[in-house]
Amino acid sequence: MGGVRDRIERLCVALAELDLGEAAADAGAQPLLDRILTQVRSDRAPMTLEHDLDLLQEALARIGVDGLLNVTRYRRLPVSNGHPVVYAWLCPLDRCSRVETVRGANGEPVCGVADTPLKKVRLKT
Amino acid sequence: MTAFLAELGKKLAERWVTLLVLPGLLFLAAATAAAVLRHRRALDILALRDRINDVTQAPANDRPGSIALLAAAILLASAAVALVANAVAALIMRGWTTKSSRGPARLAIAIRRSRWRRANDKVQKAIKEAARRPTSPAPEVAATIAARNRISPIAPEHPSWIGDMFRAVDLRIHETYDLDLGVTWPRLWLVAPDSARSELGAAQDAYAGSARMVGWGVLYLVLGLWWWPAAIIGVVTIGAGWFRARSATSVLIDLVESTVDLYGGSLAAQLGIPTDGRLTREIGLAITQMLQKNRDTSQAS
Repeated sequence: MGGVRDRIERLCVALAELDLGEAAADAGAQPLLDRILTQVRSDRAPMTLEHDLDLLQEALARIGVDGLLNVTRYRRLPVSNGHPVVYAWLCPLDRCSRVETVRGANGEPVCGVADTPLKKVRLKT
Repeated sequence: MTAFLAELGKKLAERWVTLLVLPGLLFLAAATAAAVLRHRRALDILALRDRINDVTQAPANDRPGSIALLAAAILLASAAVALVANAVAALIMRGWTTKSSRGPARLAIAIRRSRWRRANDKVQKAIKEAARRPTSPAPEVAATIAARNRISPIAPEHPSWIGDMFRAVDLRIHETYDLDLGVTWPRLWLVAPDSARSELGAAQDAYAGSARMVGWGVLYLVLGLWWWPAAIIGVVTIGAGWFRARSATSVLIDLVESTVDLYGGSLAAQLGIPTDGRLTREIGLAITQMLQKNRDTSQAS
């Protein structure tokens, strides 16, 4: 259902910008909204706030106002394979077919013939 | 105080009904069918109806006391079965992340390692082929890497994908930031804002919920020894629970890693470690050393 602070933030915005009071009255939930506001404004620790927010959300959902106070949870995007950053190391002289796929524990792989590091290329993934 | 206790009671009752009683009642219904029908008449609904009618129409069973006693017994039994399912779920969660290499776990690890090695060979082959034409698009590299990661992002050491996913995130964070996730996580939790903790809490609930689902599946599978339709229910429930567990694990791990990336710098600042807001390996090591407090006995003087 989301953190209480997030839900109160949404309540605040909905009251200020979306006329939530009228929607709550239409849903027969005006006393409930008043009780929530009393708790939010009070200095005392709210006892039933989370439950009351659930009830208000359900009342609003019954008249077709949905998703106003709830927080949408994170879900993974259905991207297929992504684009991993992949490097390969090739012959610096373009004379042989040597290809290294890992960097190696001692740093860049080295060409034994030219005595220089192999050429690092990034693949277009 | 009275309002608080009333609200607390209501919340507890809601959770009790949702998590324990309802699934427990369903299981008791299946167990009743198993006790009456067995394998031979597994789908004979009429026989089940007749048996229930016989029991409920017995003269001693229609008195208020008997009904109240029966209702209480059913509720208690459903809660008891649910507690067993929760205990099984706890064992299952432990099994997902165990590093044991005994018995079936050893076989599972061996199979996963073999599959991972074959998939990793395909990755190396795809990279080598793509490297010969580095200016051309090479989608097959990403495809083979994704296929390998579906087995495990690292060489498997656990009997399940879930265990290796948790190990992989621990290793990634250690290699990137020199952070020990185990000791850092409680402090990160306290530093993270409500919105992050809310997401993490929901992800952890989803993970535990998927294990509970598998736990119920195991109980139905056991019931299948007496009534075969329960075995089918068990297999389907375990499959669905396992699928949900993989999904919940992915979400939880994404969020854990994101929390480290986003709030690791804030944790360093809270601990009084100089930082410009970023989390680097040097800062990660300083956090780890501060939080471990010489917990490693080999380092202790």
